[in-house]
Amino acid sequence: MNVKTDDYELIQDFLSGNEQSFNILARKYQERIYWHARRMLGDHDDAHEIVQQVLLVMHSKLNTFNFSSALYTWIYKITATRSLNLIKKKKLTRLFTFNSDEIVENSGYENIIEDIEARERFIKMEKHLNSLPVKQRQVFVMRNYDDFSYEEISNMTGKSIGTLKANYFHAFRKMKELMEKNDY
Amino acid sequence: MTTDERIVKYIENELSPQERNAFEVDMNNSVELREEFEKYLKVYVETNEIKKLKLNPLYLASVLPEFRDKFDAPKTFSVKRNLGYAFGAMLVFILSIVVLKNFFNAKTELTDLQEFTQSLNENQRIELLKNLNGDQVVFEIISDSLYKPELISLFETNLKVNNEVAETYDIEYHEIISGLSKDEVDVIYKEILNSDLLKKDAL
Repeated sequence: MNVKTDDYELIQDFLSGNEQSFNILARKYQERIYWHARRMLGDHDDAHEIVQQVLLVMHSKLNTFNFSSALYTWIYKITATRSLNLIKKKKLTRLFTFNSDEIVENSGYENIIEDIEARERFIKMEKHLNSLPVKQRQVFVMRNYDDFSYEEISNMTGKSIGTLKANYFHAFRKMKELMEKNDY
Repeated sequence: MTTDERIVKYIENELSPQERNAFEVDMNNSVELREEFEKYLKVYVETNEIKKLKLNPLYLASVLPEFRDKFDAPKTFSVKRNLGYAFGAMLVFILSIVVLKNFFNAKTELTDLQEFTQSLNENQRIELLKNLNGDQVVFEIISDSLYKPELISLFETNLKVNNEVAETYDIEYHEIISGLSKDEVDVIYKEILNSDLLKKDAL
């Protein structure tokens, strides 16, 4: 059996009508989509919503993907945009429903990380990440978790490298202060 | 460069070789710098640990089936939702008609008024202005959709400043003169020179 694994082949196969190829692509990237959304949004349910949205966009818009970048870069941009949009939407919702500014801790799916100790460490760091302003959070996540270079982040976000470095520095310093305060 | 910046750049490997060596020497010589460096390093180490975490396979296995369920499900016709959309569309349509109607009425009224004012001679305009300034609603043509200043400016169009206008607006003669530009004064002076008034006075 000739298993297609190359993204290009899978996309061509999907566009020819083979839904199984789409399923392979979805399974290949779903975890990375989830993690980026989770780190930006700090909530499982929101991250899950983003995963579903991104899969829908992939399914309907893969025919427009022109291979000028890697497939994951294309998927990542969609994920990042959707995550930022949801953050803005949640801010507006909080404004109009007069909710308290406190972030309600909602891990949602309790066993999303099976190891209890690892889960607790993750939730602690997630809380610190949520304290960062969105712009700082974004560059911190893209640099430290997604391992993008400043040039790649600049291409994706349209921001200058200088701005990104400044935001990253402030994010790093804030994370250090928060971890120090919480006695790591 | 501040200490914090040096530390972050060192961790990010952005210091030049000379700067890097200097930083390492400073760290060896300073307990405080070393402690501060350790705090930053903890962020880096903790981040790297969390990066290695994997999602529960049961959750991952549920993502695609959920997507397929939503995507492949037959689209149901929701009466409630579609009624809501229809109501919203109707409301927008009605509001647009009302706004456009008011706009065109105002424009039509304005056109009618413009034509009317242009048909008046100067004395008739001054008479109207006197009545408007006196707050007496005399004419039926005064429109509800136009403000009084707009009406006044219509009647003032092409109105020449003379004694009657000055009286209407309670303007002193010297105020008229002081409001004129040098070119306007030159034009009036030339008109006076050419007019019969001076010749009569001379006689």
